[in-house]
Amino acid sequence: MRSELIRIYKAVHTWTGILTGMALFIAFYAGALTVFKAPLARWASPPAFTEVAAVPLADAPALIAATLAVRPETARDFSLNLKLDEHQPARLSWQVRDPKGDDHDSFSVRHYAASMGADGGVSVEEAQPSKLAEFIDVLHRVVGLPADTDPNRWFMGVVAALYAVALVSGVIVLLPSLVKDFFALRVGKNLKRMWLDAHNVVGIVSLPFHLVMAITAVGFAYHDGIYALQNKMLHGGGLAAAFSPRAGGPQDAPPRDPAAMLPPAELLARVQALAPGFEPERLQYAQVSGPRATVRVWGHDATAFSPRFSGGFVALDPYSGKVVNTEYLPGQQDAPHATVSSLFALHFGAFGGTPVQWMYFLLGMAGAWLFYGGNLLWIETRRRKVPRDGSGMPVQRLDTRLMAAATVGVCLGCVCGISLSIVAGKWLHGQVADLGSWHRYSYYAAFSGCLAWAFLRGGARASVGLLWLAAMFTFAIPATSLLGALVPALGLWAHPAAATLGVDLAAAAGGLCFVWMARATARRVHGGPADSVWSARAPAAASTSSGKEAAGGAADEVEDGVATAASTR
Amino acid sequence: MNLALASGLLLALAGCIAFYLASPQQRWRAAPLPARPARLAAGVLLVAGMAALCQALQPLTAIYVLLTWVMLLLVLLPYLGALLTLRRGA
Amino acid sequence: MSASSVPPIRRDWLAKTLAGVLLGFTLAIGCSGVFAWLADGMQMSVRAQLAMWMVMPIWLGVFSGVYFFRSGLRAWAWLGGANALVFGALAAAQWL
Repeated sequence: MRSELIRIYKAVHTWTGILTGMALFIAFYAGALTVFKAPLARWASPPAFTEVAAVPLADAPALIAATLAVRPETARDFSLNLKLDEHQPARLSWQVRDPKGDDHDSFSVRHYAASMGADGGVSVEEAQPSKLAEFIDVLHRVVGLPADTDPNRWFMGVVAALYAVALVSGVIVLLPSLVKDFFALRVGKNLKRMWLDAHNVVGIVSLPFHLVMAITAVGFAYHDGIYALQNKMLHGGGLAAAFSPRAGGPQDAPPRDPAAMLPPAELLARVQALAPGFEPERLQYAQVSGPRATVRVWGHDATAFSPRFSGGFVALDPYSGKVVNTEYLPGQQDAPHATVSSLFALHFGAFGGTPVQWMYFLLGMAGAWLFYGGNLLWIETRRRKVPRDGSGMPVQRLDTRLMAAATVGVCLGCVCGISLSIVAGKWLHGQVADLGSWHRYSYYAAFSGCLAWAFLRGGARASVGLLWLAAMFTFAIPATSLLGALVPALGLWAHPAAATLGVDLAAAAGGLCFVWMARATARRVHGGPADSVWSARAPAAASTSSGKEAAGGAADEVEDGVATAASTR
Repeated sequence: MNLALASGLLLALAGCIAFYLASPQQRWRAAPLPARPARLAAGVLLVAGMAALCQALQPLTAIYVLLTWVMLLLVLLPYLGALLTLRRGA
Repeated sequence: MSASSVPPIRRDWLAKTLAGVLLGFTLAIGCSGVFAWLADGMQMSVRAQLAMWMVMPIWLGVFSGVYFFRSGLRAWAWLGGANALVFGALAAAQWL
């Protein structure tokens, strides 16, 4: 290939990378945690929440009938939960969306649950499930913005599209040395070489993973618009009918009596006969009093990939038990459905069970490292080294100092913010009225604090302190659970389930990683070469006057840098 | 995790290590393994791993699991190599 | 032929980027239309999903590859031509 093209694509890679790197770091760090959305939600669910008496499945028909008697509007959509846990302890539950809210805004959804007493009386309550896991998922879906709205998702789509271009251009730039340098990670004196290798090995080896993420993310951002456009141009406006064939129907049909529905055990037996490997988790009933009543039996098949994050489903008629739709049944999809479902499964890691979840977690973290390393490489490439003639310490470029502060502030701000937000889920429970919003407040307080600190102190000095802060906040996650188990009077808690203990153990391991990084960074900042933005031995201040160093402060340094640059011109 | 899935992942792990050690850029040993036999062994191990995964999973799902696992391992192995280099240098 | 006879590749950042984003998108929509026409026998709900998802790789592929063109003008000419071809075929299909 012409070296000219390599140079052009290097510029493309640099610009797309530097524009999106920090947003992608947040998307990948939060996304890696979202793999374990269910364990996180269970970890944050208070024990009081789980003290609802579970109605036996055999009593479900009575529970459904009693609930529909007091809340007829529930016939539109409700779920019978087969797998009860800390986050979803109620047998029967339903959601009410804010009619003014955005379709994707899962934050304003209200949750209700029905339970039955020994006397057969039903009680309906608004449930307040923890919104922690949902909040982290929102950060993931809109690259760190506060809410999953259309404009925020479109912004994420721009980031994802540039990310796709960055991936392709990065491969093109690497092509000439691809085979020779495959697996190379040369640690040594040449720092630029080392960062380049560390960046390339992740980018090249996990390229298929990243291409899937980029393509699906752009799709998630713009599917509404593209469907609307294609509906007009290609499908003759028939999409709505094609997507919900069971909507509509005769309007004057007499309402049906849900008491005549088959009991859940019978419905599950039909599903079992159809797909022996399918493990049902939830029965989602829709329009049960209408002529088009359906029940979607959601679940997983351990041998197949799932069409959606929460599994796949088979749809039945709840009155006759007739199977009406197997298009989303894991393992039994035809080629076109399996193609579309593969995109979803490969984005979410919805296959292979817990082992693949851990693989996706680590690949996601490796992705976050890829973008962080990309920024470090950008900075290292623009580093001013001590000239050989010994003419003194150079002043580092302003753009590299700002980029160092921004990278450290945004990335560690996100890490600190998420850890603090998780911890807040237990400490603030029962102390504040709207815990969901407090997850947001605690995240943005930590995030903006870290960012401000990074610009105030400069990337080098701030990085060590912020890494210790990240370690502290992250260690606070298992510490909170431990306190909850040891001192019940505090009002904290710890669930004995393997999944929630996994959250604590993973956080402890993460904390250790941050301690290791903090110590390594401290060595570099205080003992490493001074001719770099990553040295606390203040090259900018040192070059102007010796007295400035004690005053520190990136603001001073920035002004000094500008002044020095101007005077040398 | 069932036995077929675990053995499939272990076989693929062995295959990835053989593939890494055959590379001139490997940093685990003083010298790389002889390239041709090591890569052949890697291929055989990966195919065997795939066959084992197919006992636990449907074929397309097995391919996805194998690809995900291989991607993760081939990222981690060079990083382990770098860590070893640092250890030896210290 | 001497090396100097190979003309340099013009950067044309704005022209090429716009060609990649805009014409890449319309080309992808056009291709999805051709697919929807060819896969006429496929059930509509899944055909529409495949048609939606195939927009992304084509669009992003064109956007990523657009800087290979020797100039912004050539990018617009070639991608414009490809668009004309695809939408021409789509219009012709309406008459069949």
